[in-house]
Amino acid sequence: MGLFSKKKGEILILDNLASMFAEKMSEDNIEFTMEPNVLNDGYTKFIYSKEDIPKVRVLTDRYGITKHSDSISEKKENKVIKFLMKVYFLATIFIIFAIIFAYVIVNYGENWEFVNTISFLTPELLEGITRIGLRIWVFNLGLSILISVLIYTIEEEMNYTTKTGVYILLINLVFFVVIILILRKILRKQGSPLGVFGGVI
Amino acid sequence: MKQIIKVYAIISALILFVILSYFAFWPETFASVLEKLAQIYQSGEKLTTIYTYDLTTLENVLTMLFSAYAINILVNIIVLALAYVTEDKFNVRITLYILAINLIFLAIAYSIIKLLAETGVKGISKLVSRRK
Repeated sequence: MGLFSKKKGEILILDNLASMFAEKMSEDNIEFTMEPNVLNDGYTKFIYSKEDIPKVRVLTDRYGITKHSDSISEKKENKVIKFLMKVYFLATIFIIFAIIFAYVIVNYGENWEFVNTISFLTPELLEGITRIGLRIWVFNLGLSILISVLIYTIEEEMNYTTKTGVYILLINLVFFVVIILILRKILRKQGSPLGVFGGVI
Repeated sequence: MKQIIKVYAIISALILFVILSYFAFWPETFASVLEKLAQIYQSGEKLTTIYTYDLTTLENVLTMLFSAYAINILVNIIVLALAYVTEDKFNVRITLYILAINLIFLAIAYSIIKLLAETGVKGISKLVSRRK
């Protein structure tokens, strides 16, 4: 069985029927291209000109391929969600970099020349970035779990959008492990300064 | 069945989301509950002993969330078995995904509590007081 997609001139055919269908289309002099369909696992997509649509319909009717086609339509990635996930991905990376940057400068960059030339980079500001940034990041970690699961339940496929959600979560988890390792070092330093991470817990 | 599993997956993710939001917005409460759990862990008692402590509302909610999270891991295994018998790839994948996230967090939470138990209650109190 096969299914018609919403876009004209395209049809999805079950993989095991694809070669037979291609043969019949060639016999009817229909020009087409075939491509595997990632979003609809197990189907092959046939693309042909608009003029050949009636011919293809005749073929699918003749071989009973359209039997269940009305109930299913081709799944497509939601472009808005895709764009939002890209923005979220970049925002996550930005937050992590801002925290690392502020932390490194507060702890090791006291005598760095470029730091002293930037007038607005005060220790208070950097400590604030680390402290507030880490809070935002912790919230973001929870949000990334929720969003990645939500996106997966909406898309039901491992496509670009879903993968982006998983990557965001993985990046956050790796950063979480790094923070715990730093925290362990800080907590085990008995009597020594605790650094800005101390203020986060 | 797919709809039930979808709802379950979102609820599971919500539990973790709320716990982490607590960590982000009420770190004092989080630290206080962790401190109590570390004390219990050190004394070798059951972690459920925390319910006998005199807790604030926020602390109570957080301990309940921890319990919900722990129960959820058990429920997750049952749902995974159910998802498997539905013979639907998506059902199994989403349940496995949730289980993986839950187990990673369990491992991280365990290492944090162990760390706090090792460094002592004073360590965390010192850190919390530095924040103010």
